Amino acid sequence: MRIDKGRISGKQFMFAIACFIQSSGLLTSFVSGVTKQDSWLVILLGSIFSLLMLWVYRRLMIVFPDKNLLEIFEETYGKVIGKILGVLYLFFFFTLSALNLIDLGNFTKLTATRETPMVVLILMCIVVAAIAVRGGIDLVGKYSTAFSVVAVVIVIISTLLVVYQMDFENFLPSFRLPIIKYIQGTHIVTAIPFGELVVFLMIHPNVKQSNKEITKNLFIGFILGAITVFMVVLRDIAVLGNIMDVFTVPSLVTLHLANFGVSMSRIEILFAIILIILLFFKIVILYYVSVIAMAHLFKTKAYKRLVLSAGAFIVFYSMTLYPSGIAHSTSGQETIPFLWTVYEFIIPLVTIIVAKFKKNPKKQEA
Amino acid sequence: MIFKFISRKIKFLLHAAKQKESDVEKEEPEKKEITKDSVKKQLSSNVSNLKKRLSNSSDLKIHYFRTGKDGCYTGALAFIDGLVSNTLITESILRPLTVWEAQSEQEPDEEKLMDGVIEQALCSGEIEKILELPQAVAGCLSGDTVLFMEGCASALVISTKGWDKRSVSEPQSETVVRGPREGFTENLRTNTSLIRRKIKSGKLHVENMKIGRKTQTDICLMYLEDVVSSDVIRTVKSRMKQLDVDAILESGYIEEYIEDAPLSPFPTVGYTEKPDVAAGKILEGRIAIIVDGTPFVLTAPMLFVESFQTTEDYYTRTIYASLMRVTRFIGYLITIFAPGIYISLSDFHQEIIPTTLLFTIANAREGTPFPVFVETLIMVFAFEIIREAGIRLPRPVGQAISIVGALVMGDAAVSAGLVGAPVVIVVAITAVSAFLVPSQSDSVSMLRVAMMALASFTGWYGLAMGSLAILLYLGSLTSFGVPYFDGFSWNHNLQDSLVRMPLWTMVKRPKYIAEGNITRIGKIDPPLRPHKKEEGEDEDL
Repeated sequence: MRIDKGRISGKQFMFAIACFIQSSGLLTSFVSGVTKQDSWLVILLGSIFSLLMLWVYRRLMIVFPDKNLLEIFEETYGKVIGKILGVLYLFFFFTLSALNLIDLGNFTKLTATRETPMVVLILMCIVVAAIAVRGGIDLVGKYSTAFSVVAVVIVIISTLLVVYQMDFENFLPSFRLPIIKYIQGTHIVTAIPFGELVVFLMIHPNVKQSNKEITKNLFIGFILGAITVFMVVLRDIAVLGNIMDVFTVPSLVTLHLANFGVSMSRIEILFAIILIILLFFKIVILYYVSVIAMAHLFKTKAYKRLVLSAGAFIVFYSMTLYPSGIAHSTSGQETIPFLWTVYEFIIPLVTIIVAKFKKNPKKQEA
Repeated sequence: MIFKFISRKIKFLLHAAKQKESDVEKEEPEKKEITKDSVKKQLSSNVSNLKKRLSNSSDLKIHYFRTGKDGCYTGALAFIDGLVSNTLITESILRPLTVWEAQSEQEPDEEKLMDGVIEQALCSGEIEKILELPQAVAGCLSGDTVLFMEGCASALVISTKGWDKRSVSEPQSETVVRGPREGFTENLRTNTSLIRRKIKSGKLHVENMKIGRKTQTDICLMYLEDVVSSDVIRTVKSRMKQLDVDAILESGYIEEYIEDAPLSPFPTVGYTEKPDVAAGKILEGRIAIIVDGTPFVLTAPMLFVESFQTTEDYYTRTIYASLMRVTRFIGYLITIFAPGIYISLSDFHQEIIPTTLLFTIANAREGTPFPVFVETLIMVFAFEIIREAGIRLPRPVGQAISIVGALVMGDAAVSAGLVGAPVVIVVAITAVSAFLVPSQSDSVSMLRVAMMALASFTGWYGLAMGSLAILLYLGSLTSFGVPYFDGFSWNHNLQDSLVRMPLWTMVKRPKYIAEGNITRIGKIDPPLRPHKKEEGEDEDL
């Protein structure tokens, strides 16, 4: 029944989750724009709420061990509603890919190539991503471990390099913002980087793991990613303080300050490269999931033929999604979290409740 | 899509045509078997038939002789001049035949006469009795002598191969400081014997086959029966058996026909010119494919890491070997990325360059007319020209080329203001580093130019995307079903990839390649802990 025959190991699955979280976490401006020097608290709270969400995903994975999200919908709600939900989720996956692609393009334009048109950057990324998607999940999974470990190492090294610039008074004044800001920040963190883990519900049938391992991999992967994000935010606040919200990519500014002798200055390029690689990994997973969802809706197994058309669609979608970077970040702070909550939390939760009442999957008793 | 569709149609048509042909072929031999192909009783008709089959070539020599008591039997030897050893023919065929006296005065009964010749007369170890003329033709062509007797409907193929061959000498392409200096030759049997002398195991399986409609090239597979992976050997054999081609002139033909990814820049079949390398690969569970007529022996499956492994890694001390291997990896990265990095630094990210160096580079760039990309491209291309010329030109002219290369291309180009000095340095480093990893040198020169183009368009972003693409492509490659990039994944293959671990730690043969009999060394005293041994001795006392 699986569209992609490839299998990945539980460990690769775990690191893929870690990688996924790390990538979106390293672009922290969504949160730092709202809560400034208290962002670390927001990340912490967001992680705790996300654990709740992860529990829902875990439950779905255990109840339906060999069905992806769209198949789960069809089984619980019947053919018609299942298909409608499937189309909605396909739109969701495409939007996520397009949004992340824009992030990548903006970031590159900011750091490397100011005059190159955005579409060139995006197109290059999607072409390389197409190679990965055509290779299937086992090719994508192969590199998850390496990318994630490299990201952790780079974060640790860069933190050590800016130790002299850190000033712990930068955390003050703490807890002085209106309470609604904290709620908003937590919501953003939960919905945008962490909640996107819902896409792994499309991948879990391809993972070789037992129920016990699902829990372990899911939570350890998530915690690994969350800790990396947390470290990055702590470091940025300690170095920059409450002027953090001025910058689009605070981490780059932080590393700009790192000065390791004359010849090793400007090491932020290293950070930029690892960030690009992580973002690329995230885009590959989202792209892959979109293609699989598309193949499922079109009832075909030859998903490799859909790769290029889906890629073209994502490129056009991302080019027309937002008129400007400001519109993007405003909607990221104000609109998207509410929309995403439906997809990431409410629908899976309802699904699991309905599945429980219908008692249709016999596996639940087994 | 359209292309795929068309190619599938063409394939189908070809297939259909082939099937028709083979149907026709199948019918033919049944009709003509007895009349045309078999050896007849008349000596003259056999000889003329053989001549016709060898298109009346002038180097086919026919030697008539008489043997038996008072020369009562007539016979003929047929061989191709130059492929046979004349002394062998004289000593082992003609001399015994002239003195042979048949036991009894019998009628030339075909069975008995031929058996008599084999058992009593000839002094040769390798005699085959045949009934079909095509076999005689094949024997003649591979340097054997065919013996016909009047009145016998069979013939003998006697091995008398003896053509001029090169002796075993040091290979040109893989020289070593430490290690055996013998190399393979163009002779298939010499090559198999060189490997057999390294691995004296009954499990070493040698399998012969002939490929090539016209060339009938002898090809030999060698592998350890208890170690080789059954999947791999099945794939290799089935691909080799499918080959229906005109000619196999060198092992490169085989390589291209049986490769997993013939269009990829990375080689997925390894080759070597040294018996110790081939033996090492066979011991790890690989298959050696030896082709007659070339000293280059193929080894399959090949992993990406193998390009970085040399034999000397295993003969020198482990720490030094590991250091050299890391150097090779760095060299490989330099040779792909150095020009790209230089272009991206000078075009996009000048801020990373330390200020003093930046001024120097800016100074050098001031007088040059072209963009950095064009400049670098010219120099890289010029280097490729010099390299190619250096290989093809006769040796005495090589000197002139190197002078032209060093002085004109480097020094004069800079002082004439065509290119900047930094470009020359970068290209020089790039060029020298390429020689650290000889077996990847084809892929390197292509990837280098691609990286330069990417870097000149989008700076480090292009480089990052390019290297991701390379990584993903490497990850998707396979060599006979074995993942090509496997040496870097998290299993015991890692022992022999970035570093070369001490030999006593490499207990297991490489994963995916070897199957069954995985352990390659028994329990040995760990050389790192000599004092433990002493304790043991104390207990004994």
